[in-house]
Amino acid sequence: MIDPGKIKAAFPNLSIEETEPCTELAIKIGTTDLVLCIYYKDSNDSFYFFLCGNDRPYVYVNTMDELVEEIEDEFDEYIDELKRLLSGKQNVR
Amino acid sequence: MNQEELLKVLKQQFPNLEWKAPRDLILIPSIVLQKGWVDNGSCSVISQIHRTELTITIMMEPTSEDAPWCFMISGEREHVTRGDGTAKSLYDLIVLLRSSLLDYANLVVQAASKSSSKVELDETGFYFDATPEHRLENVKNLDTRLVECIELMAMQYMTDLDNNLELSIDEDNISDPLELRCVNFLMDVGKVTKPLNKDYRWSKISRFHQSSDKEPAILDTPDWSLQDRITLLKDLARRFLKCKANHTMTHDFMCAGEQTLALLTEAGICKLVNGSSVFYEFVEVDE
Repeated sequence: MIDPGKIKAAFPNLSIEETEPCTELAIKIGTTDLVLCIYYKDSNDSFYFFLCGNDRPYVYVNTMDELVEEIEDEFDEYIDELKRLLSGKQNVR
Repeated sequence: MNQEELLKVLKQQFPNLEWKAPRDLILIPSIVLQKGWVDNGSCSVISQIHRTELTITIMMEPTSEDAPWCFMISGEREHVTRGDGTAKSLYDLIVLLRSSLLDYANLVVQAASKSSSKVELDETGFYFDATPEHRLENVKNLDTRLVECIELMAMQYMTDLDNNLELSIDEDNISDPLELRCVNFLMDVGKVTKPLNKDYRWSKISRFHQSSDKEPAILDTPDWSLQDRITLLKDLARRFLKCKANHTMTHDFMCAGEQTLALLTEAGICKLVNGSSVFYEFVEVDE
C-alpha cells in the first residue's frame, strides 16, 4: 500500500490528499492545477506516478523508497525545465 | 498592438517558451478548455509549461489599438492581471509575466524541497544567493552577449539623445561621462569610427560614421576589462530605468533596455524588487 507518511517525510512542503482505501495520492502543488498523482496497483504490487498532464510514460516502482527517489528525479527534471523556460537565453533542450 | 506583435515580443522575451496563437491551439486537447475565450472575440496566445496541462494564457481584445490584455497561469487565480494595452503596459506585462513564472517556479522548488525552510530561485533560474565567484562565472559565460548588449544599448542610448529626448542627466556639462564611455566603447569595438568633431560633446550620434568594415570583437578591446564592461552595462541599465520611470525613451531603447535587464538578471547582477517594473537592486561583481 501507499504510505503517505513516507512521502510526507520526504517532501514536507507537499499537501497530500489520499483516497480510502489508500490506493491513490493526489499531491497539489500550491494553488496551481498541477497535481502529482501516485497510484498503488494491487495486481503486481507496484506503484506508479505522473505529473498531471505530463505526457511521458508513467513511472513504475516497487517500493516506497524507490518511489520517493523517482519523484525526486521527476521534480528535478521539472525544475530544470522551468529554469530553462524562465531564461532569456535561447537554448536547445 | 496586435496579436502578431504581442507574439513577437513574447518570443523575444521568453525564447524557450513555445507561444502559440489560437489557431494552433485547437490541435492541443489540453487547451481546448481555453477555447471559450477565443470564441468570445478576444485573441489569445498560450504557452504550455513542460508538457503539463499548466498553461500561461494572455488574452487581448483584437478590435482596438489600445486593446487591454489580461493574463493568467492556469490554476493560479491570483495571477489574473489586466493592463491597458499601451506599449508601456506591454512591458509591464512582460515584467509581471516573468515575475509570475518565477513565483510558480519557486512554488515547485518549495514543494519539491526536502526542507521546510525557504529556497528561492532568482528571475531566470540562477540561485540569486550565488557567491560573487559564481556571479562572475555567470557573466563570463555570457561574455559575447554582454558585448552585444552593451553595443545595442549604447547605440540606442546615443540615438535617443540624437532624437533630442531629454535623456542626458548632465546636459549642461561638456560631456556626460556615460555618453563618453558609450562612445569610447563603440569606437573600441569598431561600431563607430572617430567622430568628425573632437570636442567630445557626444550628444549627436550623427557625428559618427557607422563602421561596417570592422567586426565587433571584444578581443580587440583589451582595455575593457570584464569589470569595466559590466559596470558600463549596469550604468546604462540604471539610466534606462530612470528614463523608463520618466517615460522618456523610444520603443527601440525600451526593447534594448528590457533585454539588458534580462541579461543582467540572468547573470545574477540585478534583481527585481517587490514586483515593480522600475526598481531593481544591483549587486557588485568583483574580478
